[in-house]
Amino acid sequence: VIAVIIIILISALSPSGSRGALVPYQPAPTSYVKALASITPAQLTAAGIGGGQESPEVFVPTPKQSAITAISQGKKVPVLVYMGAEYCPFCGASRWPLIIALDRFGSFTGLGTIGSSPDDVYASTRTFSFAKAKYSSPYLVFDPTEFTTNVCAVAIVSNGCPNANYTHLQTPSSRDEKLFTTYDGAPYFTASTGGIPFLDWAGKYVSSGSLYQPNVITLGDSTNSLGWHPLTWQEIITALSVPTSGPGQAILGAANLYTAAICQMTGGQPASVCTTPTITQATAELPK
Amino acid sequence: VISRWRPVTATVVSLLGLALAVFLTVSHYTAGAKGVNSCPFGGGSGGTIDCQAVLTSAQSTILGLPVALYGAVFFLFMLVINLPVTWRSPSLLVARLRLAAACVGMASVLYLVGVELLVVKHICIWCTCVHILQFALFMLVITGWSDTGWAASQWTEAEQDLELVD
Repeated sequence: VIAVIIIILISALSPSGSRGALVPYQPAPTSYVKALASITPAQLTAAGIGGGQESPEVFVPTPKQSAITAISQGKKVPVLVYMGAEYCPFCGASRWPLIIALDRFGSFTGLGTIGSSPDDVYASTRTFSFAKAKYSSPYLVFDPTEFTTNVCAVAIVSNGCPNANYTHLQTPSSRDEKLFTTYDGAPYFTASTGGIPFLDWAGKYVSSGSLYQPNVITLGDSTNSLGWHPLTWQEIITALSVPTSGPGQAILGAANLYTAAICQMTGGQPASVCTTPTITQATAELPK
Repeated sequence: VISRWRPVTATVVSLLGLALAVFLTVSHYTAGAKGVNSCPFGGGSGGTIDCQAVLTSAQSTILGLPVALYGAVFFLFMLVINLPVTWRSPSLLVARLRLAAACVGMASVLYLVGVELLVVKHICIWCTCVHILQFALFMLVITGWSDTGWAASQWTEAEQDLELVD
């Protein structure tokens, strides 16, 4: 009994769970949105495909899947389905390069800033939320769902929140729900089932997980609290100006891989984006 | 006479526990490395049995170190203290240490199973194997006091006393 009490006390006092205050949703400052939309081709070229920091194996080709399309601006275009959650640090890591990639094909409004859960690994990773975002592009439709917020409705132990206990935010369409249950698991993904972020690239690919680890945009130990310090949005944006190493290379390299996947969706349109040597190189990295 | 099966069985169980704990420690770190890099999501996740969810949960570390690493250190200690030669030790301290460690281990198992079921809401099958091994070790140790070297030495002393009386 004494041992149990000691262990519970150690666990309760351990900073391994909650590693900071909740970083709530806020409308993204225009400067952040502009900074991501202003990434230059030279920066992206310099980053290449991330200098070994990426895991392109999160992509799985789905040649037998029907194309997912929608009518936008009067014409049929492919749809990129995104399913994630605001508590999820891997979703947080993915949104940075995803926004940069999508900014090459269109533009965002309504992005929010948020931190991933302070109670999960890679606590309070600074990122954006798609919950209220609108995306406009002549080439594709972006269809995001953020399942939950980063707010824990019921924390059973002082420093823990089960994934199911984050407050509900958005319900996916029945089509997206079916994609999630059909493709986010075996035989497409054997390491995990129902992992997020999950993306369906218009039926060309599905991807589950982030291309790079969230600890790239944080300081300190990646799985515990030792020296834990998530980079701020401004620090990450500043790092993007150094595309040949660290966070800048990881994010921009992932953006190039995402861009290559989008180019597969759009049939190589626009050519100014999709025919660059970097995107050609990134396309070759995507699993066949 | 100290039974031979109990120390041998306890050694084998400790060795298996150590191997699994080392495996889980490695898995803890690699689960956060390349390859496994998604968040398990409640509604669509892999069901109750999901090692990734357990090994990457906030509760998978205590004081900055993976719980599995504590387990590995614990089973290393149990391996040493359960070697047949250690069971034969006439030291009361060794016998008590073995008993205390088995109890602490069992208490830890109860706590960890509670966390898996109530907080993480997932069970890692490999963790469960470790828990079963620890339960086996606990039973072997608490029912084996008479097989300790210390108990045997007491019998020997008692017999010698009786012989002296005779």
